[in-house]
Amino acid sequence: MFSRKTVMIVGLVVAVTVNIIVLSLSTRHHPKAYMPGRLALAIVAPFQEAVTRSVRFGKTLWAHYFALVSVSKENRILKELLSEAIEKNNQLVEVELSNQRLRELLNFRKNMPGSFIAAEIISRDPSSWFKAVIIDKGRADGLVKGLPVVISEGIVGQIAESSANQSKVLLIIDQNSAVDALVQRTRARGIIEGKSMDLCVLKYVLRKHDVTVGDAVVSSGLDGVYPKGLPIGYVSGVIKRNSGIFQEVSITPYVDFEKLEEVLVILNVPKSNPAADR
Amino acid sequence: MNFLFYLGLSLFLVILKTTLMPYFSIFDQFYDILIPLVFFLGLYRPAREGIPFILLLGFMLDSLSGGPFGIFLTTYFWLFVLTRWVVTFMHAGNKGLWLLTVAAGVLVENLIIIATILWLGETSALPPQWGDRVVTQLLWALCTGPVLIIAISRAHRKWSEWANRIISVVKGQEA
Repeated sequence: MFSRKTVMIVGLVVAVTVNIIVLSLSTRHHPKAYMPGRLALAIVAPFQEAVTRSVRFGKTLWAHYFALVSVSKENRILKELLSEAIEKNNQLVEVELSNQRLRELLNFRKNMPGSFIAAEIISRDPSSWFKAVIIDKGRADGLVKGLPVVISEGIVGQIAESSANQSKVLLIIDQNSAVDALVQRTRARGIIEGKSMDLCVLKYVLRKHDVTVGDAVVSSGLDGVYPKGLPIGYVSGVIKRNSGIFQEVSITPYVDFEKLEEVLVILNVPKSNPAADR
Repeated sequence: MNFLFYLGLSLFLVILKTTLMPYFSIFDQFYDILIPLVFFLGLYRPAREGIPFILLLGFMLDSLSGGPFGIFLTTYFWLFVLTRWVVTFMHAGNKGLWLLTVAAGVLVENLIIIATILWLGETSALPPQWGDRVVTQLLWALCTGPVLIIAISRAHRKWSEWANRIISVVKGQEA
């Protein structure tokens, strides 16, 4: 009745129309979820999720790897910079401390008559029984045996021996050392001798003299080595025995011999120190 | 060649003791670090090689120290003589000897210094805590003395091998 061609055309028109109607209806009303759709979702989604996560993980890993490489590189550079900065900072601290010490020495030098030469300590006594240091100035710089060695805090010692470019300084805490001294407040006189353990003792101070803990002790200038009025230390102990004409006076030097680094050697010792005379 | 080795080693030890160790307060009461070298010479080297060096060493240390001149010279010489005497009836490789030898040497040195201070010095009083000082030095010596002797002995062996190699090369070139 109908040709095959006609049937095909009518079928196509019907299909298109139905499709349009279904599409039109589905755009207006959301269809309810149906079982096979949910099942497909339940089966496929986990794999999708896994793959997505894997890809994301890979991407993150890749990104982190590169980031880590660059961070590690940056870290190395920063560490180098930090160590350089620390080293520089240490050097600056050392320079600052050295500057401070040298300024103190300079101020001290300005306030003292006579000429000085600055020297650096290069080594210490090989034996713990004796207290001496070696300085980096010698006969070539005008240093001879007997010259006094001082710092701004007080007396350090005297030159015991000189070679061309180095000298040995016997510290006042050595037990072979002696300095004629005065208790500043009462003018009580005595001889300061080393006790070897960073302490000294003021000997031959008569019992009648008033000496109390804390009194400052200065050089008397009478030994012909140290100028008058140079600080030596303070009284840290007084023992008056029942018998005997002298009292025992312990002195703690102002100079910290453990931390000694630079010193001044007095080249021409003034006969007396006007500042102290006043 | 050996003399050069002793000279270099003693210079190193002196610098270590007088310049580097004072930076660390733990070593304030460390013993005379050259004593192990004196013992090494006494134990293993002939007198004609040891004595001139011992005297030189003593002279060097006396020049650096603030103590009376001759203390180190005396100490080293008598330590060397004592060691030579001891090895006449004890084997030089005896480990017990090594353990005690440096401590004994430190004791002898301290006794010589104490005697010098008491009888020859201007003051006849010993510094305070002198006993603590001696004991600390002895303990240091007991702990580190044998190690130092072994170290010196090994360094000397290495030096000898190296020196012999150089000598044989030079002789080979001359031939």
